[in-house]
Amino acid sequence: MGEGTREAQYKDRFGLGTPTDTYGTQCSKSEPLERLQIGEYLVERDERGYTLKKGGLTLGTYKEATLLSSDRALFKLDKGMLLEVSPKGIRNILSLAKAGIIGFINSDGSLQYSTVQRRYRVGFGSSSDELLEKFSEFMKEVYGIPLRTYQRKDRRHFIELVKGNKEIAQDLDNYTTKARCEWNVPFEYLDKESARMFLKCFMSGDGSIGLYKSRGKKNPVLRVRFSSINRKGLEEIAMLLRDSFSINTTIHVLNWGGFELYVISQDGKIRYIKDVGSFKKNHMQTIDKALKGGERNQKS
Amino acid sequence: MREIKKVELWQSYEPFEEASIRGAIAAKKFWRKDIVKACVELGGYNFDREYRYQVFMFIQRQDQVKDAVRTIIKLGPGDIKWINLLFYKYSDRDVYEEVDVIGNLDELKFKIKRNDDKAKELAIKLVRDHLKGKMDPRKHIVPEYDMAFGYLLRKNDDRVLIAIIGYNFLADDLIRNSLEDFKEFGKVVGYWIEEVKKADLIELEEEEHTYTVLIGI
Repeated sequence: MGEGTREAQYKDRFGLGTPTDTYGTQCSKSEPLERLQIGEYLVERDERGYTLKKGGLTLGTYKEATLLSSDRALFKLDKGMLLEVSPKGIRNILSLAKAGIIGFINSDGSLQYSTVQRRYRVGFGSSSDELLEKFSEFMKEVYGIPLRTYQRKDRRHFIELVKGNKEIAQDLDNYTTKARCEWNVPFEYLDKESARMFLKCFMSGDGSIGLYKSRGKKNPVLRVRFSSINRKGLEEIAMLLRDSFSINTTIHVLNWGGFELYVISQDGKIRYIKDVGSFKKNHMQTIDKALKGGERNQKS
Repeated sequence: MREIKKVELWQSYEPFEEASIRGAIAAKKFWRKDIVKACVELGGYNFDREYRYQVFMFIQRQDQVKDAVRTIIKLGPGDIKWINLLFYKYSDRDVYEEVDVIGNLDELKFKIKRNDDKAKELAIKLVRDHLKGKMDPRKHIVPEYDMAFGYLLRKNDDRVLIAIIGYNFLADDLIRNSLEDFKEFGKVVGYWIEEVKKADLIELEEEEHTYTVLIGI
């Protein structure tokens, strides 16, 4: 699998080097190039990367930081995870790409992780090329493995991206319950940015954004909704929208099975399309139209 | 409808291949002497065509289950979300037998219009209750809701019922799109529509001349 040394492959895949044996070598005593205090935590940067300390103790060293400010730092971990350091403490969160993968899997994706049956598989199926491309891009970014496109012979107009891989399935199983039962929102691993990406990808699969000119109406109405057979999951989406984006929603039970989560109020819908959005081409066209229409109304 | 046994064959996190295998196993296990028919039920979303849907494909024999599941997967448009297998005893009526059959498309369109009128009546009441005396009587009430309608199809001896769920104001598009998307399931022999009887307020939007009322029916 792959070319080059094991260490180079590892670096390429996870953005990190393998641990190297430093026994017997002299410790570096050079002064750090930069110091940053975040609450009780101290971040020191030198030519090799970043060292995180608390009360004189070294908590870890990291090669790359994706954000460094006085109130928050994000350090790159492996498999699309980030270590968030803030005055409140430290926690692992999902990178944007990984949050996107979870959002896609929870909507139109599939995950099998069964040690009993020895089944380990990640999949995403869609008839929209742009979503297949996005999912593949995210998987490449997080796991360094491109997915094979599979035109299903047993389904019309349907393409699947599938990867049978125990390590990937096991890793994803830590952040979504989809392999065991109904999907969930991984609240504890989301910051506002990754929450946005999770919602955006879920909307791309199981949501709808439409601008409709219904009978007897002067202006078209914007409708934003999520659909699922998983009521608890939709309630969690509602909570995420409310807590992270101040967007209110309401759930409606369908007589013919399943549930709908409607974004309510014009403000909420505009906030959704501006702040979150979707990767689906026709959603993006609608968003563009709705925002242009809104600007025109404001000018007139 | 009293299906005596409902077996969940497949959910969206599983590979499609599993569904027909499980269907055959379930048929072998549950198709006993008192079972006279079964139905493969599929639920899916086809948001590119503005609707969600359900397909009910009826079968008379145990050995037809596997092929029925394969067919329903192959022909189901958009994203498939679940597949179930329902078993019926002699005395049970199925969904195909329970719907009020409408003979032609014009009659279906007439009933959609009648539903819209009823929805408007219910919407006026909901707006009045919601605004408590502050309702402007000069403003138009525009009701919006998810309508459920569909087709009864036949292909040789097989019966299929299709349920389409989508916005009422897109009725013409929904009919046109769904007739095209489901044509391979069989020949349309009848139509049906869910009658609007009651409504809950989901959202009320007020504009200069209108109240747009999104209702759940």
